[in-house]
Amino acid sequence: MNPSDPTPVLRVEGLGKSFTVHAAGKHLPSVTDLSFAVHAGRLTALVGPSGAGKSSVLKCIWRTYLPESGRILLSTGSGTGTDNDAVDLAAVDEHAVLALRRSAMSFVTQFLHVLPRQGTLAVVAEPLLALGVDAKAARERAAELLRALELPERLWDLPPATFSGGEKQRVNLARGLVVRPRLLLLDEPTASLDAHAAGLACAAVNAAKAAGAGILAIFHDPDLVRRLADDVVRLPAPLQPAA
Amino acid sequence: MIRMNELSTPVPPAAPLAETRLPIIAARGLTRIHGPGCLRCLESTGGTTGRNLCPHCRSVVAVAGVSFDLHPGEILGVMGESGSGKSTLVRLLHLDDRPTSGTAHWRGTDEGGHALEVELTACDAAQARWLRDRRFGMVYQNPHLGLNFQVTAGGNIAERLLTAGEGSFRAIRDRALSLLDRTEVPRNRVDHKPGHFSGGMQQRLQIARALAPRPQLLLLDEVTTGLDLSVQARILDLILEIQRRTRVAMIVVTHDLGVVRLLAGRTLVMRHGRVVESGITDQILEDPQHPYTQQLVSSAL
Ligand SMILES: Nc1ncnc2c1ncn2[C@@H]1O[C@H](COP(=O)(O)OP(=O)(O)O)[C@@H](O)[C@H]1O
Ligand SMILES: [Mg+2]
Ligand SMILES: [Zn+2]
Repeated sequence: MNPSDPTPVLRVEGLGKSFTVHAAGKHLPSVTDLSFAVHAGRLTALVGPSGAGKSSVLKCIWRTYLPESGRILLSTGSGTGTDNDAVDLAAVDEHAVLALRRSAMSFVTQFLHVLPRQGTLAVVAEPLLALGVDAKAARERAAELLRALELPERLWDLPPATFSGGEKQRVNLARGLVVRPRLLLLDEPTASLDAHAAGLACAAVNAAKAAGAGILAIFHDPDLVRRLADDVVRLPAPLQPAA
Repeated sequence: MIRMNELSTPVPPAAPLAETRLPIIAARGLTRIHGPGCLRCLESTGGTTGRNLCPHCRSVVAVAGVSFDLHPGEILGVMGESGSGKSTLVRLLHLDDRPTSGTAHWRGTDEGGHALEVELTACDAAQARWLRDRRFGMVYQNPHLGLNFQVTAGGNIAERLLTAGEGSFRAIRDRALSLLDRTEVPRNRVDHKPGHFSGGMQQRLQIARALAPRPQLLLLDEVTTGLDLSVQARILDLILEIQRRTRVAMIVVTHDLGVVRLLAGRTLVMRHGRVVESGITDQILEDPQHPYTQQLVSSAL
């Protein structure tokens, strides 16, 4: 935690999430009473054993999962330093969540759900276009990121569907960074990259951090936590073995 | 060295938090019962009864108590199995059918671009025709419902522009060609009748015809059902591109989870005429709450 920064980008308070699988008559706890903060210009790593609920936490923040209890306070950047300055992602309506996804946060996962025929440069530029940025500026910013991640230029017009895992992951990361989100959520963003590409990805993440983004990340490799994390949040082992 | 933090591309201001934009459609309690209806129709259908046929009066409860808001520029998915009431719902909005009860409020603009509100469930025949001709577009699973097979591709678009009040031959021809381009129907097919087209091209022509008067609401009912996957992909791409370019609000009806995943920001799940669950599409697919949605999603995996 960083006490000198009283208004974190994200404050999670008492987050709880479980799944009820009706057909199996099962209730599976996933996250219990979790609290932490993510600060501007810093990276918080979520660590813990497999099944501890790391990805569930990110998905609750993104609202792919419906949080069950607690608050998920995202700073709106108005800078008044009070609770009124934040919006509770666990409580706001769907339209507000969708608007915040466009303007204030990005989620980089290992999967890319995009239109089958769309070219890579367009895929990366799209979040900017959705915000009304002019097409030329959007393409330039997308190109800069793809160049920095060393995705060969001959691939830029092709749809990423046929790319290797590592190439797709770089496209995904570029798409997540293109908008300069206030909050960046990363779920194993370098899992399928070789050492060189992983180094480029780390540099890109550090650049986002230096530009002021608050980052919450899960890394498959403890070495990356040591290299990139400013704060660490440790999740306990699951109460019940996860499926 | 990577110095992305120094890039000069301007970052747009964050969108306002409270979406103050008013919905283009506000539906409340829409209900459509086929048959005489009785006092026990609603309690005897839906929920855990597992049916939409009232055992007391043999009426079909096609849609019951459906409420939602559709915002400008939004794509709303309506997902459910065959018979769940999806087509009835869009037919009510398109004024092809009238509800037994409930309201649907439309907010748009008149011919002069001034704000106009119409209660769809109470409008007269002339108003309904005006809305269908100039403000709404509908694309059906069956191309015979959305196209005139007696006239050419160009004629199909011209017909719709004429009913929308376009009088200049030149303007009609130019608009028809640009719509064919946009929906990837080759210009050299402009004088061919749709019966000679592939299924995918018929659907693209239907989309072109629906878009001709620049509608403010586009309703798409199972438009990719029954087509090959690559043909479907082309149509889905096209729909998103249209949405991106024109910002037209859309309701996309489908039984296919893949279609809502790609197209819809939010989704309603229907069963026996009821909305059993609604939410952000990826939440519906990854954290479904209702037992029925859970079953739908897990059986599609
Ligand atoms: N004109 C009608 N008369 C009687 N029943 C109808 C009529 N139209 C639809 N239905 C019934 O209403 C229910 C919902 O149908 P529909 O809206 O076509 O569902 P979907 O589009 O989800 O397949 C079905 O049981 C259907 O048989
Ligand atoms: Mg139908
Ligand atoms: Zn009855």
